[in-house]
Amino acid sequence: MSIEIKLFASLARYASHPLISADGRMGLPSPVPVGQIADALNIPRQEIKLIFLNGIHAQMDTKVKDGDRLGLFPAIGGG
Amino acid sequence: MRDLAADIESTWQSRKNHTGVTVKTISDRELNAIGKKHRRPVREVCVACLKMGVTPLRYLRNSPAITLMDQIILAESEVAIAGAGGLGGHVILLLARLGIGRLLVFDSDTFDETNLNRQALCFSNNIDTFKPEEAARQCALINPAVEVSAHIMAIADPCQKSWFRNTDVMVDALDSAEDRLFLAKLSRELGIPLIHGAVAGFEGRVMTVFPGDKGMETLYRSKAADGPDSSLEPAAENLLGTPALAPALIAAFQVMAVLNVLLKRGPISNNSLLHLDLATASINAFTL
Repeated sequence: MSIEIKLFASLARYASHPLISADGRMGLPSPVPVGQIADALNIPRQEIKLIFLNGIHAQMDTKVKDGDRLGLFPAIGGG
Repeated sequence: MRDLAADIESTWQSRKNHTGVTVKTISDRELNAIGKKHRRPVREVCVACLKMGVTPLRYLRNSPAITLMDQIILAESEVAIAGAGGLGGHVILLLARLGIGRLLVFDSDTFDETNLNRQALCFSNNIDTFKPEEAARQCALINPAVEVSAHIMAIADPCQKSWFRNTDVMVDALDSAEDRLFLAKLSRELGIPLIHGAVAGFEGRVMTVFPGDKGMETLYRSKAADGPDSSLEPAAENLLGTPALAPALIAAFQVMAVLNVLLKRGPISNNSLLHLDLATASINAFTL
């Protein structure tokens, strides 16, 4: 299975991980929680403040399935 | 002495607008003169003109995107802006151009040279001046029909709820999670819609928070809730910086959201977060 992953703002610096393809896709053996994907990409969980799965707010333990779109945000507070 | 309406009636001039329609118009100079004669603020004279179907020249090119009826609503509206920095500066200037009747501006800071890269109210000759006072001065130059109430204080400082008795919309142009959570709580208690905006690098986001929405608490957690180590994680804007572009873009989206609320053009409740990235020219909508 494969998912589309988008890392926003300062999390974009983790997007060069070899598990993520040039077109922003990531292969997975089976459905896994968001937290496990973050761990695999070496993104510290405390840097992730907001998770969206298929455009809808999700949690660290929400399972990601084949074809899902995952978006991860850090804290953004500039004004 | 003739009454205000009679003076407006004898002053307006016919003029073809940009769509070829002949309309009644009045100039700033004439608005000021009538206000002075009747000892009434320019904003009041402006509202009287609009209600008589006379368009101040400064609003002529707003039509038909913003109609005469819309312009009356805006002139009789009040918007409170928390923060007069990167986002707030642009928001305040745009609201003044649009002719919002009354602006309440809250900021405890003065301008410093590091603000010059992005803050629309900041100039090399006003360093060290208080931001709300500068907002009032610049709005007066842009549009004398806008009354600005400058509050040199943070929104989280002790404030009177009665100050917001006539406030229709609040704008979040702050730069800390704690202040944003405070503002969200305040706006909910007052039952006033809040327009959130935040930037980092060339990205930013905007969201309308209606009093029943959970909005801000989903986006931010207080330091107390995150534990003592939370301050070790740098915020995105500190890792990426805040160049001029994203504040201008997000401020424009925030002001559009203000218009949507005031003119009842948008949804009445949404929980929808809009993320914009200038570097990739992309817009994404998320549901909270």
